[in-house]
Amino acid sequence: MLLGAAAVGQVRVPPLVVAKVALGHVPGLSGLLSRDWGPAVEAIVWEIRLPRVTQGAAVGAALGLAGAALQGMFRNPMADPYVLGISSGAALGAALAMIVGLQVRFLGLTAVPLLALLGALASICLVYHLARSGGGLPTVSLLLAGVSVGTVLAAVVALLMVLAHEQMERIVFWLMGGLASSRWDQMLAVSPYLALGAALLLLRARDLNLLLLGEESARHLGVEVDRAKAWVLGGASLVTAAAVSVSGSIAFVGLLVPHIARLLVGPDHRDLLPASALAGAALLVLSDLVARVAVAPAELPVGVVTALLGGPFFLYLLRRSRGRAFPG
Amino acid sequence: MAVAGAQVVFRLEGATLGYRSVAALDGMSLEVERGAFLGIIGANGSGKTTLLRALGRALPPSRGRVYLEGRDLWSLSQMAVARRVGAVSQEERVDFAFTVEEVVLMGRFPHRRGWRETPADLELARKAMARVGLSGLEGRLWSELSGGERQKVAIARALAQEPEVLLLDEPTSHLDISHQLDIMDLLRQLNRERRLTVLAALHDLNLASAYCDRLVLLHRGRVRALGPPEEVLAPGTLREVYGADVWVQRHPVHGRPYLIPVPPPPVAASDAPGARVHLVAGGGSAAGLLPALAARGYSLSLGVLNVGDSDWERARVLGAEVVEAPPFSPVDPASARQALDLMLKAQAVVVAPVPFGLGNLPNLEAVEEAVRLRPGLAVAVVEAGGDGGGQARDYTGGRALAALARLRRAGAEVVAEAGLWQWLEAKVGAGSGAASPAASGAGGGPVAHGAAASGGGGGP
Repeated sequence: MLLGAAAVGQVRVPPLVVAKVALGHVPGLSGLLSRDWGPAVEAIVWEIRLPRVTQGAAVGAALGLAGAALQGMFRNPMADPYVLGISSGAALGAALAMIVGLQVRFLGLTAVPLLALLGALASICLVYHLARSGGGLPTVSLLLAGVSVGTVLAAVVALLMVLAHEQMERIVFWLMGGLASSRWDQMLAVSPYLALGAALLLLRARDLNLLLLGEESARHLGVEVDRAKAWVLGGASLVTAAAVSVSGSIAFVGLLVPHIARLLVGPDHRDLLPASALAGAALLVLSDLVARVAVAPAELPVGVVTALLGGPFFLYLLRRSRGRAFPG
Repeated sequence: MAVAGAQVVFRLEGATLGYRSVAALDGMSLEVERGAFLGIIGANGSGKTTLLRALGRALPPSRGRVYLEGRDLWSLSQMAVARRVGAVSQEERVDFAFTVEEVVLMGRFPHRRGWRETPADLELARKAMARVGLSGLEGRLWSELSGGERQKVAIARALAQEPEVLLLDEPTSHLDISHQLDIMDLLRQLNRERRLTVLAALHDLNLASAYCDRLVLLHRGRVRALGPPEEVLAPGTLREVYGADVWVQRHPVHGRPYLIPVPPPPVAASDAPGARVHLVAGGGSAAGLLPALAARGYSLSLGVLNVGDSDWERARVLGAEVVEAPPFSPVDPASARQALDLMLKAQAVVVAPVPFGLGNLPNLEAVEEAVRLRPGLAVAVVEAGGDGGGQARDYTGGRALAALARLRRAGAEVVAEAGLWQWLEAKVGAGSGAASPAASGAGGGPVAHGAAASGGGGGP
């Protein structure tokens, strides 16, 4: 699928060639392949298309994973990865980087994704500390702290946009999210956060199942509820922060994908989390493909496409399996 | 004593637990023995749920200690506690579409660290489901179950934990009566068969009394009473704790205390505004008549009744004037004389369908005497089951029957219970307030002050 998506674009490249280009970059394999493609194709595929679809897959997987985990933890089908204010924190970081015109390179990231990542992590730390009370981590406080921190930060971003209106268009474009700025080094730089966050979440899949019985019951079944919630929160924050820092806040993936996955594999998080990651990756790569080619040479914001593709598909699944999605 | 110590599952030592500033448990000390079936009772907010939360390691004590099998509960991990203590909380809710089997399998969590459940886990879960009567529902969605079935799923899940103790917070609330008994029967069987220690917070005192071996009555975060139901469910204690009057009976089947809440009558039956009626009853023969007469506002007196007789209790609860004799004693002449006085004060005498033996024959003779002293006194003999007013309830070798026959000749009427109200209305008025004209017409005798007393009618 990644290869197929990388093949499509303004310049058509056969999937086989895409595969060969990719394999050509695997150490030890390049000598075995006959190079029957030109440097232009090489550049398009390796420098533009492949990083873009890879990042699309990674971001989609991250958002699907985080959405599924947070919906489980909050026992709320309306939760998404941005419910804790992470996207607003990232947006503030990104907007500051753009307005100040910061030129740094740290941890493999340029200024905008770097500050976006820091902003995302800072905002979630703030939310976490605001929500903690007496050793516990009440879900309602967490939600309220997330929503209010998010709202305040979003207001600050709006204020910044008004004050620095020469950067407004760039900030707005970043806010809508997209994969146009995908690069290998950037991808590489955030992959540790993605991997660590995903591991934290997958290790807590069984705890998440039990949390769906309510905290009281989960506790009686042996779950250290507050610790489990902190882990899930940490994991979801890491993957979301990593995703948002490189591609802005792409809408709907984290909200819809878990529902789609739940309809396909059921509510058990041991199946649901991997399925959400896969479905998220698929949806985002596909949506980005449509965003690239639908109105070429211009591009649609990918968030618009995810909503247009994912929404109806979700409704179709919902109608087909009445009751299984929102019981009770 | 070491053996006795090992038998204690839970021990609370001066445990204080609370939410913010309010102490829901206030320095509570309590021991629960292995194999107990302990009911936790108490008014709303008395600390029942908090006690269960304390025992399930869901809420740490701010002062004092909680021990599980001799070890501080908070020195154990949540997982270690979950291997010994299973719990069913008050509001069981399962989000998203899990099947019954999936939910029950979650009970294996504290025993497994692996990613997937093993066939052995599945076997245990299936057994737990079969044990609570959920076989055949394994694949059903939890959300499609009825309240009773959901409660069973929660119990099966707790059983899959293979616990030694089961904590349940109001397991029968929201259930209809057959499901209540179903769940309680199940708990009792588990308690007996597996020696599973069961602690259940129960709202329904009669269920608690019927099923629990021991009860602990909580009041304001402390233990107010602890012991077998017969000791704990004393009217005085219950009035203090619940602020309500109850009438403690013995249940006809299991003999445990059975409570009937008694709303205080708006006015004592002896002071009711209606015409004064004397009732000859006993042995529960006035079970329906007495409350119905009181409800209609007649001013009531009874006697002679043996202390402890169910009609005696009923009359006292309703506040009627009663002439009493010691339990199981024959009516002595002095009591009979008092009863006669009450009959003469009344505007009507009603003889309930009470069986007459030599012990209570004097009651009937007192009615005869009253009619002799006050000719025209309205007397009704209530017949039961069309016995014509007596044949079937004569245990005196015909003396009671003869007395009833004499009464009829002197003007007493035999009426069915359903016809009594019409008869009373015609003779003495329609109870509350509307007494006088008919009463004076029917009475006509020397004792006119009864009618005068009721003439004021209308308000207490």
